[in-house]
Amino acid sequence: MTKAKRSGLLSVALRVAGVVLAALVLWGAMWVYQSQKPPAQPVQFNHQRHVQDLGMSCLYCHSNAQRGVSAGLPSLTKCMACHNSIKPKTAAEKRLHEFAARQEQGRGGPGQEPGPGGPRQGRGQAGPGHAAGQGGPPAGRGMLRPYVMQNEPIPWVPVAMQPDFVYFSHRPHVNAGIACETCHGEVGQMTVAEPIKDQNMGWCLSCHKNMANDAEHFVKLSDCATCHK
Amino acid sequence: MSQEKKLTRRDVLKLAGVGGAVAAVLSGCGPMSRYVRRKPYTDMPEYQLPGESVYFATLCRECPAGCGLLVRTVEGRAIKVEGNPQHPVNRGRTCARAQASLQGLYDPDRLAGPWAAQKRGSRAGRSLSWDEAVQVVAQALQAGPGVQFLLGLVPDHLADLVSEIATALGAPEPIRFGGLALFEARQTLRQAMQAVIGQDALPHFDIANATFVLSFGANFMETWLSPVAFSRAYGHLRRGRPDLRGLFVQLEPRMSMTAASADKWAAVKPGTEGRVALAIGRLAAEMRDGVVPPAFDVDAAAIAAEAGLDMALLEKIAHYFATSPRPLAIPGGAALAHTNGLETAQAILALNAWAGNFGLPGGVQVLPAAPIYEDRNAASLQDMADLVRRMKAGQVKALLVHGTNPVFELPAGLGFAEALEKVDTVISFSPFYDETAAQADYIFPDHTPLESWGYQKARVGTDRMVVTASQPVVVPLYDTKATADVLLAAAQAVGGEVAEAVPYQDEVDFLQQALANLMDSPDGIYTAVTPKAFWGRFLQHGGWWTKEPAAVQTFDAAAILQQPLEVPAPQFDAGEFHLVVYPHPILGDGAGANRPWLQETPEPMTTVMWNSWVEVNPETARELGLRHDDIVEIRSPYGRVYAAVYVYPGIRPDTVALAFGQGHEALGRWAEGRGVNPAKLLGPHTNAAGDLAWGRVRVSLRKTGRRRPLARKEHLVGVYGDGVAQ
Repeated sequence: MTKAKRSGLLSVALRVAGVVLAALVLWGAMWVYQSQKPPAQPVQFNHQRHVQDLGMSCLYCHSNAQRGVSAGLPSLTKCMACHNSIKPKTAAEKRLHEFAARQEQGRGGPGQEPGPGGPRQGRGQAGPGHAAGQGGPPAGRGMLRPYVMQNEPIPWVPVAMQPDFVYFSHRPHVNAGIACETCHGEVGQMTVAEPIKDQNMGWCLSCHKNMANDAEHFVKLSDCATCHK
Repeated sequence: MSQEKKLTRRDVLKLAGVGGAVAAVLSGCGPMSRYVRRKPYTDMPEYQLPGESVYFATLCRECPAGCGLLVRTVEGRAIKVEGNPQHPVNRGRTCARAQASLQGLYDPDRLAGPWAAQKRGSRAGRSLSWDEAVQVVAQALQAGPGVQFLLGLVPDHLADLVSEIATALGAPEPIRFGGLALFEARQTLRQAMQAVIGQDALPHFDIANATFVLSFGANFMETWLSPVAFSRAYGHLRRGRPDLRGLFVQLEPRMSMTAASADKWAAVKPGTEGRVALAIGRLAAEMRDGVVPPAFDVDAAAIAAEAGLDMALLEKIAHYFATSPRPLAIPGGAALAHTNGLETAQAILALNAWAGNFGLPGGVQVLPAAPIYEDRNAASLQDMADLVRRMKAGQVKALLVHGTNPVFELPAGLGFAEALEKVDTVISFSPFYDETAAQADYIFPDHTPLESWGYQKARVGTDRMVVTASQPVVVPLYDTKATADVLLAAAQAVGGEVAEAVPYQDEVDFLQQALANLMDSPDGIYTAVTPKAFWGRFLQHGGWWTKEPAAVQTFDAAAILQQPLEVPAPQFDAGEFHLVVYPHPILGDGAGANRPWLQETPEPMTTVMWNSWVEVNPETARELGLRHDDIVEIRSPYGRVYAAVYVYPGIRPDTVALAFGQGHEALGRWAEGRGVNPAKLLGPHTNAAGDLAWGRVRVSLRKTGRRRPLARKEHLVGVYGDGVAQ
């Protein structure tokens, strides 16, 4: 091979490597950017309207925060408790009503309560995907009863997520008297929920350090196994 | 000097463009938070906390033992089955089948709603509404005395409810049948108990408190009667007492998983177990006090030769039986599945009578029944033969099947499938499309056990009265309906006496009323003032049982010893080899074949998975020129099957063995077309009690020249080096 050809191959290889590197860097940048901006939600829920204007407390909807690991999200029924009597004007309200309509349909009409036990009235129609007269009796997952199939919950996109190796529990934090805004920001002034910048381990540890009463407490709070099990 | 091009602006722009395009594509894979979705309840129950588990106490219905379960659910989805630690039968343990009951719940081939077949055996048909289904059942019930209910072995509330309906219709009593009953010879055990202690009751063997267990073919750690309870008891036999380690000897032609735990397994000739018991009785009596009762007046040496056992071994066993503080002899299914099965059972129970252990700890016990409805016996093969005869004569107009799969489980020689053609209407309530449902006119699927209400009375495997509760742990997934509800609605539609006989609003109403008898029983773990309050506690604990074990009863069993006990020689069909058919330790009676977890679990002795095999002794294999995985034809007077050979030293040279449970032709994607069903080889012969005498069948083997490697967890060369390295 001549020296010219070899250096030609090398320069092609360098160019390919350059492209790959540039791609990776751009990809990483895109990733970080996306993780820092508020995601689009299936229903563009406006926190400011509910928290600041209407004065609702965080725990009314996210009720599990003081009892468990995850704060939880409100069920469709809880939203509709008020929104049943509010005429939908905004796009978000209209979307909410679409989900609620499917919930009613799945239940078999208003006034019929779901729940285990008691006599169950037949639905009459098999669910979607039913193949009448083809290849045997209706079977399989496509046939999940209409209550389950159409009664769709709102598929919320999580905003404040930690990686899988972090075991965060709301309960000790809420019971220590820490306000929700401390970690989640001024939610009362947000429309759609926004992730907080720089919510990383250093930030967690700095608060743990400040909250420690004494040396023993500090050791407990900053021990690896406390958050990483 | 090199001729390299310099990097121009154009190059940089090109690179950036390509890099940007690649980045745009790759960034479609963004941070995980953009792909996860959180779906809360649409209507959250009050007791539920998001992300936290809720446990329900319920009942395992995979076999009739009646173990109590705790099922863990998260946000309405069942995720794990564990045993209920307080339940007297299993005390927190479960077997593989209980664990796999989850896969029954989530079976992708489960039936999703009521259906009418265009023609029996065809998969063409139409869906019905439940209202129409109830009308069909009501129409079928109009046949009055021509109605026959065929239920499973589980002694549950449905059997009680159905017997009330049957009585009101003037129809015969419901028949409770199951594959396991074929291998446990329950009718034989009952009749033998009647002969020995005068009580028609299923015996419970208190293995835990015995000191020497002599089992004749009882696979009590696998599927026999109450395997979880007996396995626990076995643990107590060995290690539960610091000063004493119990001994265990198993006599059977094929080494089962149970025999593998024994101190000694001896390969007794099939059909001679009863006579061996008498011989042991004689030797033991001679050793203990020199007084040989008339029942044991036999020639021990001749019997030893007949059975193919060493006299020295028999003497050793007799020595233990005579000197051990609490010896216990157990008549297992394999010993009773011969034409002399009833006499064999009597002979083995006579050993217990001689040891004087009836009713005592470590002996043969009879449990009191909980005062809810009468006990109903499991059907013997003779009862099923009578049913087939009535079907063929056109006396059965409507056959309603629940919880059992007779087309698969019954011996081919009985002719059940042919007899079905003479029945006008066949309705199956199975949640799965099994062989019997495939031959039905209508399928009205019941909920699976994890979605069902109910109760079950435990009759074996515990030391006290137990009634286990069943409650749904999830909202039913499909458009299924509880069979009890369907029958109650149909009874109301029929009206008249039938409606009056079962005046219950629904299944739960029936259960609450049926359990009312237990409400103020002072021996129970709780009492209540109203049926609804009792019901709440019943569900909370997962059942009701007595605080203390049942009082010790004594029985006078001496009479059986006072006369000579004739155990006739066993009869056999023509053929070269004895055949041992045993329930697959993991798949059970075959209902577990549609659970991939069970199929994937290696069979404990051969480690074979996902298939059937035939066990052949190494000497026999050498003589016939057979190696591991060679396919042989196994032929009996009643049929033939093909299976791959597993060269197994733990079996007599004159015997081959097949596990029962594979070979389904329906039942979903994981069960169909896999393995062979030994029922095809079996005939209709019974022992004197009416139970199946599968031991009578003898088979011939024929090489086919084909091979099919079995999926085995062990090394392909095999533990004994007889396999073929590939």
